[in-house]
Parts: sequence; structure tokens; C-alpha cells
Amino acid sequence: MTLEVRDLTVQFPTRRGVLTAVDAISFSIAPGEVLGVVGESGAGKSITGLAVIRLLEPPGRVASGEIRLEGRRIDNLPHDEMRKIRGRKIGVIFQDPLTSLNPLYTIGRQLEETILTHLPGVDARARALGLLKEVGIPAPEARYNAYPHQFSGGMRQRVVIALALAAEPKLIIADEPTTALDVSIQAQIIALLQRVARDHGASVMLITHDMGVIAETAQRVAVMYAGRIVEIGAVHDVIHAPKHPYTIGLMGSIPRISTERQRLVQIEGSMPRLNAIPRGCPFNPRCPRRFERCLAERPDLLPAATSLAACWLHAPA
Amino acid sequence: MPLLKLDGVSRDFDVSRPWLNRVIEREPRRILRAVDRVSFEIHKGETLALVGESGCGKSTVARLIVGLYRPTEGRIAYEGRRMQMIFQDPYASLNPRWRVKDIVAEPIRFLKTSQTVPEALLQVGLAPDDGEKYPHEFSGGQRQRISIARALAGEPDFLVCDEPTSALDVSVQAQILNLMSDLQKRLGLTYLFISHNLAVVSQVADRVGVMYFGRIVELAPARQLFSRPRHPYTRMLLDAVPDLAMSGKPRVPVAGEVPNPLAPPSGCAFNPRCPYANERCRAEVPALLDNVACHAVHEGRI
Amino acid sequence: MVFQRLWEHDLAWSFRRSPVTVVAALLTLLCVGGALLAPWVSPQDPFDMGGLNLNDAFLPPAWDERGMARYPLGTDNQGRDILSTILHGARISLGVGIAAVLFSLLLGVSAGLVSGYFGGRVDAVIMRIADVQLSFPAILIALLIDGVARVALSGERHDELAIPVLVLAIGFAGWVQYARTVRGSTMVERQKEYVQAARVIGRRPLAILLSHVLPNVLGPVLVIGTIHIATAIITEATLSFLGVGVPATRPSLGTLIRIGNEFLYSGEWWITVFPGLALIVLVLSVNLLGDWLRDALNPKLR
Repeated sequence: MTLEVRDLTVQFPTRRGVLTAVDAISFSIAPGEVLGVVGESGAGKSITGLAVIRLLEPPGRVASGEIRLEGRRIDNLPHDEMRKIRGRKIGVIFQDPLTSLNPLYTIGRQLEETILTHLPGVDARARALGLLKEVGIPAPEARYNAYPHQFSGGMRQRVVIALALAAEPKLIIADEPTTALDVSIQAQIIALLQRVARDHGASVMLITHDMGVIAETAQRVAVMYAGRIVEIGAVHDVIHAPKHPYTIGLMGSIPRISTERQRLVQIEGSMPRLNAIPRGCPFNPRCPRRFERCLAERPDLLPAATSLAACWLHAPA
Repeated sequence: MPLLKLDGVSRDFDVSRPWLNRVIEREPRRILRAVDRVSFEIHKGETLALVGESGCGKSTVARLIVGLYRPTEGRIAYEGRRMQMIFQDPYASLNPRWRVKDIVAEPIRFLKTSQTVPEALLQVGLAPDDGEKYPHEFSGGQRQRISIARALAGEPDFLVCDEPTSALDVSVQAQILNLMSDLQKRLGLTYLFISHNLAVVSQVADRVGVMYFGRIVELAPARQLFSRPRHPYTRMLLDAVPDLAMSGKPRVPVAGEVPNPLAPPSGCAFNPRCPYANERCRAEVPALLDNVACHAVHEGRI
Repeated sequence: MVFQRLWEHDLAWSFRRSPVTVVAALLTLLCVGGALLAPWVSPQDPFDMGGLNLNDAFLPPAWDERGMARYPLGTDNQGRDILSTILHGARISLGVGIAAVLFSLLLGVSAGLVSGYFGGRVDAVIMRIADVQLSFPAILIALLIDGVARVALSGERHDELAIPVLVLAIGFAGWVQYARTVRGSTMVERQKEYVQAARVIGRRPLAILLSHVLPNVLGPVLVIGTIHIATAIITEATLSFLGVGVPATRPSLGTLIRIGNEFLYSGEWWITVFPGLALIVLVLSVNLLGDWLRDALNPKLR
């Protein structure tokens, strides 16, 4: 397993009490696999990504749990050790390509800097040019000394992907990599991510709210709600045969291109705020199929056909 | 008699550099043509959607219609009594210092309509007590409801909706789209729905206009557009939508990006990326004939 | 109930958290209270010529063996009780400071709103005036205005109007900082959808500026204003020290410092030192209060 997360809990101590943004989640990503982490805003998916690379903004902190990269624990490493791992073993792609690149340096310089930090002694320029070519920047030699603002949004995101790949990481964390891009560019970037994962054998943790992107890119998907994973399984299973009532509602509310107008399924209410998470199953106030146990006990991930769902409906009889 | 008619409407923006810079560097004025000779009609009771990617001019068209901008050329004729608008950003659409009841009451007071604030709030699924609160106490979806309540308090016949659900989570989006559909039936409203999301549009629109580079490239009934798209850009756009059904059909992402709006290609704006472009496409802007603005279609080549 | 809500509020919490602020607040309260209530609180009315006893002139502070308990901080060359003169002087200083800031605020916020909302030529003109004014030190501007007034009005008239003229002078010197801040915030708010919604409803620009934009741009103004009070007091003190501020019949702290300065080297140090200390304490506590307000209102630090 490239990445193993076990019982990860992330908390934010505030004046009014401790807020739990991620509550004892566990998942793993195999080498070369793309795991989608999907959820609506406030579900905790971005925080999970930040927790894995230890870039949480204080006062947020990892309160408990273990994170293992290629078998080695990284959640308790001292800061300078972690800095070496970040970039070398883990590459990151954030949502906004404009702010991910330093506007004052040419992209060639930024690529070289990253390469030399983690792979000293290598021919940085050659490697950088190779990366640019790989991510589909036309005429990379000509654009090597260009500045980020001279690229369009889609091209910038490609450069960000090149940066993430620079040191041949084993794990790439992509947080909403296509959300800020137009639909036609989005398609190009999705295809690129897939190809890159396959060619480099890197595992990808793809965080997004867009189920369509996950359908195209990922092999497995974890659905998050109120800081927990409520369903996890193969993409095809989760999309076409969801087991958790939230996932069912979510799939029903996604509009699809069709020539028939249908009324969309709507889930009443909204995701609870972090300081008002209900007892038992956090989805119970909105769940059309809840019963007494749901109000009292929080369900763990239970086997449901070929997936896992945190729902008492799937409790063994 | 259509409720709204646009005839050859264009809008230019002057994005020239400051006067001093221009003089010193001998640069000409730079004019950006955001909307280029757009014409269409909207009939009472229907929902017309305008789709396109960022920068295609759809939001500018919305603002031209509502009066926030003046057209540089062309005419806009509105036969109805009042129109209102709903905006994309639920956080910036409501004045953070005003209570909800004042926000919703503003059009009632100013336009002297016969709605009351509690009625308006109930209509969108909120409680009359919510009027006492401030916007920051509500979620994104609830704020959008407040925006809708404010728009409806002005008793409009026509509602311009600029990406009303793009900033919302998918499940909240479903609630708002259903609400808007119910209100349309109940109050006999006409909608102009602006969006970049084709899937959403296919669920709400009667007719769809596809915009590219400030021009309408295809304008057809929704059923026809989604089953038999004709313009190459429309096809590319539909092709690019991620396939949730996972039918496994191979996709060919289209090459290239939107050209610089200050340096538009000559002739048809899509020609640099179009697999069917010929000499005429590079020279002559195609007119919107038979619902499509494409030489290749007109000439029967595709 | 209300008090409890106030106590629980974020501002009050951050206030209680910082001992420096609490001390500063108490000090300010003491100074301001004493100054405002001077006519009732001070042991002697220092401007009533009849009540002065020339024999009591040049008495040192009460703890010195030659001092008298009646004059806790000593007396000046005319037998005036220093404590009383400080209280009355502080009253004038504070009064002029606050009035000048209010005037400055009115001028600056209006200019900023107009400049930020309308842009274009209006903005260019206002900002160029502001730029030109910024190249002069505030004291010079105040001196200029005061000098013009002296020439324009006869001696007696000028004495009568001295304080209003001073307020105007210091006020004019300080409007630019408000204008710039408000202009920046206005330009941001103008783009927001709630302003566009108000325009769609049909509100006029003035109504939008006052009811929608103003409440959202006032935050930083409050902080600038509080710190500006301290600066205004110092400016007034400087002008009075130079002899061009308040008339001698109604001395402020600055005037007192000037008068006392003459006696510094002959050994009667208390006549200038105590007013000086009073000025420092007043200005320091107002400044600290302003610092706390800025930090408390900064959402990022909350």
C-alpha cells in the first residue's frame, strides 16, 4: 500500500469548544491507483488531504490516528523530515493554478528548484523540459523562461502537475484540480492526470466535489459526510449501486445530460455545522430510512455487497 | 409578441492602458468586444438558457438585458412590466450589514409591490422569523433562497438567473432548481438561465443558446440540442462533459484553448480549433441561420 | 440581559483578555471624564481672574515642603492651580481633537465614497488633489489655513472664531487617509452582487452609497478615527505651542506647555512638566485603545 490512513482525527480547538473536522477515518491507496474522495463543502475532504501532507493551518491539528506512506509512519515525523518527504514522495496539486505558482519566477526556474531540492545532481533543465513535454505544454523550450501569468489557466494547471511530478513522487494529492477550469480544459486535464498516474505508477488521492470527474478518473471512491467516510468502494459500484442513503440521495441529485426533464432528487436540510453534529449517525436527521439505532450509535464501515457503507441498514442480521 | 427581444446587441469594453502609458509607449486603444451582434427572443413562460465557457459573454448579455450595462449597438425590447435578477455568488449577493427582512423589503418598498416579507420568505421555503437574522447566519443554499425571495418580492414577470447554482453543493443545487421550477409553474414566470453546466441546463431549459466568443453559435430547443447537436463547438462541449454513466465511450478532448479576446480570429471565432474549418470559415463570420452559425453546416459538409 | 450579551460579544472578550487595554481604557476614561467634567471637578476655576491669588504664584507641588495641599500640583506665574489648568486644558485639547476628527471623517469618507463609486474623471480629480495634499506635512496645511483666517478676519473676530478655525484647519489636514481607505473599500464593494441587485431594483446611486456601501466600509474608518484623535490632539498642541493655536484666554495643554516652558530653566519645572505628562498620558491611552480596536475588528485574528 502506498498510503494507509487509520483512524485519522483532525480537530480545531476554538474558544467555544473543540471542533472535529475529520472523525476517525480509515482508507488506503494502492500503488498506481486513483482514489477519489468526494463530498460536499464542509465534509472534511480537503482537510484530510492537508492532514496527510501535514499542511494544516494551526490551530488545526491531527488529534489521533496513523498515516503511513509506503509502510513508514509520517504523521509523527519532525518538521524537517516531513519537508523532505513532501515534494519527494508526495506531490500536491491545488485548485487554483494562479496561486500555486510563484508569479515572480519563471516556470523553468520553479521546476528546476523543485527538482534540485529533491534530486540533487540531476540534469535539472533536461528533466524539467521532459516534464513540460509530458504534460502537454507545446514548444516547451520556448516557454521555459515564461512567467506564470503568461499562461492560460489550463496551461498553468499543467505546469502545476509537472511541478508535482518533478521529484517522481509515489503519491499525488490533487485537491479540486479541475474546478477552476472550463469544461473543455477540464477534460484535457483529467485525461492527463490519468495518463500520468499510469505512466509513473503513482497513487493519486483525487479530492473533488464533482462526481463526474471521479467517474472518469478514479478506480475507487470514498464518499465523505460531516467528517466521516460513509461509503467506499469501486467507482462503478458506488455510482450505479450506492448503498448509503446519503450516496443514494447524492447520485439522484446530480443532473445528467438528457433529453427528458426530470425532477431532481433532493435531500432535505443541509450538512450539519461542525459544532452541531448529531449523535449517532450524522446523517440521521436527513435520512429517509432512519430508525432508532441510527439516533443512538454511530455506525462503522460495514460490508455492503462489494463496497463498505457506514449504515445500520447493512448491519449483519 | 415575444416578452424580450434582442436585436444585433453588442457591448464593447475599453480596456486600454492608462493614457500616460499609451502616449509613452505609442499603443492604440484596446477595445474588448464582449458581446457581438447577438439576437434572440424569449417568449412568455419559457426558460431560455445561455451556455458557454468563461469569457463567452453570457453574463454580459444578462447584465445588458437587466440594464446594468448599456448596449454599444443594437436594441433590447422588453414587453413585460418588471424584471429581476439572481446572482451567482450567494455570499456577495446579500448586504452583510442588513437584516434579511430589510433585504427582502427593499424591492417591496421601492417598487411599491403588494408582497409582504413573510409571504416572500415562506414562498422560498424559509420561515418568517428568518427575517430577523443576518445573512451570515445562513448557509449558501439558504442565501440563494433569500436572493430568490428578494427577486420575487419585486413581482417580476421575467427573471434573469446568472449561474444561480454554480456556487452550491450538488444536493443543495437540486433543492434550488426544484424550487425555481415550482415557482415558475406557480407564478407563470419567464426565465433566462445562464450557466456553464450543460447537465443543469438540460434539466431546466426549453431552449438553449450556445455562446462562444461573444456570439451565439447555436440556438435550438433543448431536446434537439442535446440529442442532435450541430455546431462543432456544441458537440465538443457536450463531449467534454464528464460521463457519469460511465458508458465507456472513448472521448476525444478537443485541442487548443479559447483565443485571446483582444485578438479575435478572423471569420468564425472557432476556426482555429475546428476540425472542419475551411477558407471561408477563416474569412467570413457565419450568420445564425436555421439555428446554427456554421458554414460547414450551412454548406452541408457536416 | 443586554449587558450579558455585550459581555459575551467578541469585542468584549478580546477586551477583557488584554490587561494593557483594560488599563488604557480606565486611564482614558479618567482623562476624558476629568476633562469633560472640568468645570465641576476642578478645584479652582483658573480663568476667573477674581479668584486668583497672586501671592500663591510659583508654588511647587503639594509634596514639596513649600507646597500647599490646596494646590496639589503647584501653581503657575499667576497663581493658577496647575491641576485645574490641566483639566480645563485637556478639555479644550480633547474637544478640538474630536471635532477636528469628525470634520475630517465627514470630508474624507464622502470624498472616498464618491471617488470609489463613480470612478473615471471624478476619481482622478479627487485623488490628484489628495496626492498633492499628501506632499505637504499636516502641520503646514493647518498653519496655512490658520494663517489665511488670520488675515481674512480682524483680530477680535479671529479670537472668537479661533477654535472653529483650528478645527477646520486640522480637519482639512487629515481627510486624505479616510478618503483613500474608503475609496479602496468602495471599489471592492461596488463590484459585489448586492450592489448590483440594488441597481436592478432601481435605487439611485446616492441611496446605494449611503444605505448599502457606507455601512460596509466604515470598519477601518473607526480605527483610523480613534488613532487620528490622538494625532489631532498632538497637532493642536503643536500649533498652540507655536502660538498659532487656541487663543491664550482659553489655553489647551499645548498652550500650557508653552507658557510653562519659559519658567523651566528658572526652576519652576512643574508648570510645564505636568501639562506635558498629561498630554502624553491622554494621547497614549487613546492610541492604545485604537490599537485594540483595530485588532479586535480584524476578523483574521479572531
